[in-house]
Amino acid sequence: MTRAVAMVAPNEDVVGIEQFVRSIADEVLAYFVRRVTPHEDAADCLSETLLVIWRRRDALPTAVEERRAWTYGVARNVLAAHRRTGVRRLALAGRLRDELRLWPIAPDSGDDAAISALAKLSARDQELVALVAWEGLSVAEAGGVLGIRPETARARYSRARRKLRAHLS
Amino acid sequence: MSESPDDIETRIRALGQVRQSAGARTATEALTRALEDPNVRGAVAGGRRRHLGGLLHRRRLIIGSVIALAGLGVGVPAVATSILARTGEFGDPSTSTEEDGTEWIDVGAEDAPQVVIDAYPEYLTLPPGMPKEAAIADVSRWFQKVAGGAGPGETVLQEGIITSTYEFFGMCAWTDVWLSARESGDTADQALATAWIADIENFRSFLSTDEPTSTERLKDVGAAAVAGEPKFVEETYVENDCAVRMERLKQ
Repeated sequence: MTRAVAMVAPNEDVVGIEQFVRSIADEVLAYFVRRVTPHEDAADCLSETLLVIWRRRDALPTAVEERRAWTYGVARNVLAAHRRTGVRRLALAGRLRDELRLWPIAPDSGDDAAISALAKLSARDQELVALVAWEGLSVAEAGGVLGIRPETARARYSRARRKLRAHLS
Repeated sequence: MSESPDDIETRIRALGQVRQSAGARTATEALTRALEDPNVRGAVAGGRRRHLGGLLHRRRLIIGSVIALAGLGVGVPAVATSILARTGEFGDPSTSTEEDGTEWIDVGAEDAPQVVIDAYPEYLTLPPGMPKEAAIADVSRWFQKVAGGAGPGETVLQEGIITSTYEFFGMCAWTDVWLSARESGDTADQALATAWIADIENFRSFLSTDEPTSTERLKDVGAAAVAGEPKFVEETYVENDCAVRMERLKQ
């Protein structure tokens, strides 16, 4: 849950929101590409996330870093909806879907040991580590996305790192 | 060979590296720019808006209090329908101060019972020997009451309320253990239950509504459990209808 964010005035400059959405679209697409199959479904998840951002723009935090974390909170909700029931497919996202089908951009790594070590963590710890390592969020921000307190997130993150180190050594 | 922390971070980071094609970047940019047009967003949301138009007349169920959670009316099972429970609409603070950021669920939709099952919170620890299916069965019964025979599109509630109801099932289960242990003088069980009751992290969904009185109340109950004082623990047990909920479990 991502409620602990500073709110911005409802009359936030639309241009500012446009710039923010443009700046974050690629990385949100990457977030979904890393987590959904088939890869082209990432296009639908992205379009749904962008629509939610626009619909809830009055709740966008002011600070850029807070906005990023808030956006990943939205993306996480969209991902959960996608995994449970699917998200709608918009014609608007058709071009991106086609592109992802033809030129998959899913991560491709041959580091089986690292994949295996990450897979041994609990789902929540995996996501905590991934949000930090892949999305570049701070541990506290990642905890916010997952609905856990900063101190709890830091403790879990340290424990997850210890486990990763143990699995990889 | 042992790995340094830096090596580990580098290897984990590498697992998530993606390289977007120029075509994907262009298509993403086109999608982003298209959605900057309010008319386009309006057209895309057209179906949604018509759908949500009906919601204006729906009941929006909110967390009122622990008692309200336990005291909702009797209902009938949800009607089968092709409408999906997940509305794609997330919390909107303008409608309620007690609302959280979770998704609104259509309680009359065909797949709503599955949403209840999926909503079981990973962090919920139940007393030893109690399976999570017990919690799912209890919350599903509550959900049927909430649905109250509502048809699709008639009633929505937030997923956070379902999660909170799981948390309060945990409260019932652990206060049951606490009270039984106190009566029998089982200090080990009482200590185990005390640790759970006193940890307000176990109520993270409920407390996410930022209702200060709820936090204080839960802290009071936790402090009472730590002090071995049964008054607040018993009151909580009654407020949450725990006797009935636990009795069903034992039958």
